[in-house]
Amino acid sequence: MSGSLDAYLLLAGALFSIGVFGFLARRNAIAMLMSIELMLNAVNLAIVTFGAFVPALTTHASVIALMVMAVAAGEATVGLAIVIAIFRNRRTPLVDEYDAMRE
Amino acid sequence: MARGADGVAATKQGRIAADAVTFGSGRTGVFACGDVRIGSSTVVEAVAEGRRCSYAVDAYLKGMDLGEIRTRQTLAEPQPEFLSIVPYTGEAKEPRHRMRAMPAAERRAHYVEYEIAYTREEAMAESQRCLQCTCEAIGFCDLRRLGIEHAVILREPARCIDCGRCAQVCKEIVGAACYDFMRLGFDTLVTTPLDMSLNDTPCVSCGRCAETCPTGALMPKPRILEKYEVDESRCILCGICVDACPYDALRCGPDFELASTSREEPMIDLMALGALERDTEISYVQRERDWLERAAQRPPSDGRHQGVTIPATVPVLGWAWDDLLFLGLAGILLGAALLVVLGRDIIHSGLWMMLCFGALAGVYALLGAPLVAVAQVLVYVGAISVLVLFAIMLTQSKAGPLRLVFHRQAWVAAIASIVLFALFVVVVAEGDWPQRAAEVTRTATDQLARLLFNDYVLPFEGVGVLLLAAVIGGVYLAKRDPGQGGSL
Repeated sequence: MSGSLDAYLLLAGALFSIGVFGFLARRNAIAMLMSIELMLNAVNLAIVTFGAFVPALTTHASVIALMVMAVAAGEATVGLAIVIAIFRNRRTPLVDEYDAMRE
Repeated sequence: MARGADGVAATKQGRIAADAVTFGSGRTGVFACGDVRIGSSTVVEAVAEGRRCSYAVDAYLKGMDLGEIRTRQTLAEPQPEFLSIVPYTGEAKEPRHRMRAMPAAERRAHYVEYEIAYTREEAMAESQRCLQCTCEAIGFCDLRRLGIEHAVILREPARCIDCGRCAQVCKEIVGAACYDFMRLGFDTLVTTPLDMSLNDTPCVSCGRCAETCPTGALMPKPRILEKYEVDESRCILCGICVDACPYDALRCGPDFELASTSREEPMIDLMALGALERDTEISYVQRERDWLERAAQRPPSDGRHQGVTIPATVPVLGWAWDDLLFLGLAGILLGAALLVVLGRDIIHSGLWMMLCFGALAGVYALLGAPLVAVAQVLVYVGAISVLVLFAIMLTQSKAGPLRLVFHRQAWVAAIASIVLFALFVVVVAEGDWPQRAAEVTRTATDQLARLLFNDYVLPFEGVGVLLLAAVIGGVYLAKRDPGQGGSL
């Protein structure tokens, strides 16, 4: 089981699906960001899985995963800064109350 | 003559052929010596022959084995009495037996010889007295003691008569050639080459020169030598001692030199071994018993010192350990992820996210990517989760956990994600992956570093610039405007 590509890919897929659900369903902006992090981790897991099972990709996959992590860290920084900036104006983290564009 | 001479052979010269040592002719019990054996020679030689022959006849009559005597004599004859010429014997010199004489008053009246002759006993004793005629100071000569130049040979050139026997012996028998004739004519001397010290010559200290010296110019240094100690543990069987020994006291045996020892035997320091206390059967048994007693007294092992033996599979379930780890980590991962998206309290969601990321790090380690696992712990569990938790706490509304966590259309999102997962399952199941169940390849960290800093150096730098931009952007976005109020 641990030696099969399918199990890891299914795990990554499940994680990604959970992240998609969280991103779509949650009202809280920070929860949405956390869901995005879950999806990024799912993708990372898929990358590392392919690296582990395809010998030609082994080290490349690790390098790519590390870069994805760095990009995710940057994304989290900027995203949370945006949330905080909006929160400062609107006093709420809930995205469905961000209706500035509607008016 | 014809009957009694059976077996007695004659030589070409018409003499009786007899052995030079046992004097036996070809016939047992018939001996020949003197002129009839060796031809006309000196009287002394004839008398000596007769005397030695009488010994042989005596031995024959006593029933001894003449062949053995012959062997012994052959061995003994060339051996000089080496130790007899050691000058100092330690014996007190016998006083001279002085002749008695007439009193002066009596002898002044006549011309009769005034000394009274020795009696028979006195004459015999005086004739047997050792005169020690070499030197009065023999054995304790200061000159010689001070003039010692060699450990074994004493040289006293004043006594040398330049006969050259030492040179001959040393060159032809020993092979060292420590002595030779020097100069010409009346100035000829027998000495070491260039009069050098005997220590500088290739002298092997055999003492043959001292033996052959007729005058005592060369003498063996007095010393008591009881026994050589051969340390066989240090012997490398080079055989040089065999070459050097002038008396063949050391010989190459049938197999090799010092035939009792062979190269195949381990070199054992016999003296060191002799000092050891050796194990006997009793001591072995005793030691084993002691060990068993100590083992019985020892507290039951807690398994730390003997090492834990891990069974090949999970004991009850019969799975491989990797499978158990994978299932456990995957369960924690998915459970924590579900709690992240479903939990009502956003702070709990953040904490569950940390657990989710930690489990994912375990999965990375299981996949043989240790550096990614460590980076996962550092970046996600350490940095991003803390950042998220800070953001949560900054944006937490005073109303506490919200009652309405999800949008009203959350069921659509659920359907969408379930469909997406089903799509993943189909893709994974139907996909023609080449390495569907291959062995997991471990990532070597040094290769990763080489790859990262060679092939991927440009993206690496780009990521660095991106992170810098993200940090600056984050600071800019979260910065409070000067004119703007607010509690945050």
